[in-house]
Amino acid sequence: MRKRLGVLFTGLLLAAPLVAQQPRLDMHLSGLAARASEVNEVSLDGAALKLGMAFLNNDSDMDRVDRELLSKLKGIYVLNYEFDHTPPELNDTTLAPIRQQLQARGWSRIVTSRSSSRRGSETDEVYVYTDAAGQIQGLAVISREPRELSVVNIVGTIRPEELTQLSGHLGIPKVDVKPKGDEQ
Amino acid sequence: MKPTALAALAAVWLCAASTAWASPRLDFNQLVDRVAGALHCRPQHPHLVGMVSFFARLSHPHEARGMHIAIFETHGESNLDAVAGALDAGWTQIIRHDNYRDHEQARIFVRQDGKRFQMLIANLDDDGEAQLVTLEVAPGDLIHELDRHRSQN
Repeated sequence: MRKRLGVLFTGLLLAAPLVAQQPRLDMHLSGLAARASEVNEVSLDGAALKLGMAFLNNDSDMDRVDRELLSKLKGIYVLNYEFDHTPPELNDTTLAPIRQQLQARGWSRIVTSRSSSRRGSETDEVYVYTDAAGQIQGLAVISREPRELSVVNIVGTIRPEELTQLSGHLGIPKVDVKPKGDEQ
Repeated sequence: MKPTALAALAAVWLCAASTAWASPRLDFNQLVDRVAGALHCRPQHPHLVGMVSFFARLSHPHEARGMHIAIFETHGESNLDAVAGALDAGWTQIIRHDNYRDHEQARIFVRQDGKRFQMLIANLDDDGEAQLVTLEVAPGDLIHELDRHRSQN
């Protein structure tokens, strides 16, 4: 019995980080960076996030960003790729590893926004991760244009409408947060 | 606790402690040597850059301290990804910027040191010149200083 309890306890210990990491996405997209003409990656978590906040505070547009919002965040991760020509790799298959994670329990898509312009069609998707108590503990954004892709993962307590406060900072693209189904 | 368990615990502690002792933090000159090796180049104008670093350390812009600067002349297709492998333990990359159109690259790494942070900024220009800058900042002091600066303006 003691041995079984020991195994169970060890299992729980090993599983705990995995459960705790669920709002955090593995954002590795193989092959896409090599095709990009410009690559920007931001990875701020733990203590480094404090440093990022300091730089965010220096932003002239900082008045829009609520410090309380920033203090509730545990991590900000951004991938941004720009291309000179639309690469064949910029498709749903390449994004599948990220979308698969967003289909896990806790994640739900709240916004899908499509718009067209002379540059082509743009699709923005916003997902939230809620815990068992219904509290939002993470947020993800996939923003895709013919020649640009941005993937954002924010870990921490954040409401979708607060995303607009961070938009345009730390590489986070400007995203219209409209209710799901409000497609154009 | 059984003696075998105690011995195992002591062995784990000794391993962890010996790893920490065996990997002291590199000073800036050692970092420069390792980065130069990773980029297959040599630091340029070390005396002139050393003098600039000295005067930079005397001032504390925005509470940044301990600034060190090194400049390298790289050859061929250098990639700043190699810098990460040249650093000692504790550094985390927070920013990657690669502009393949203009052949510019930048990496920013941070390492926590108590309440302060060590920052390492590596930059590679289109002409093959790379700069390495390290400095120390305290986020709390930095925010306070920036607030003071903003309220004055």
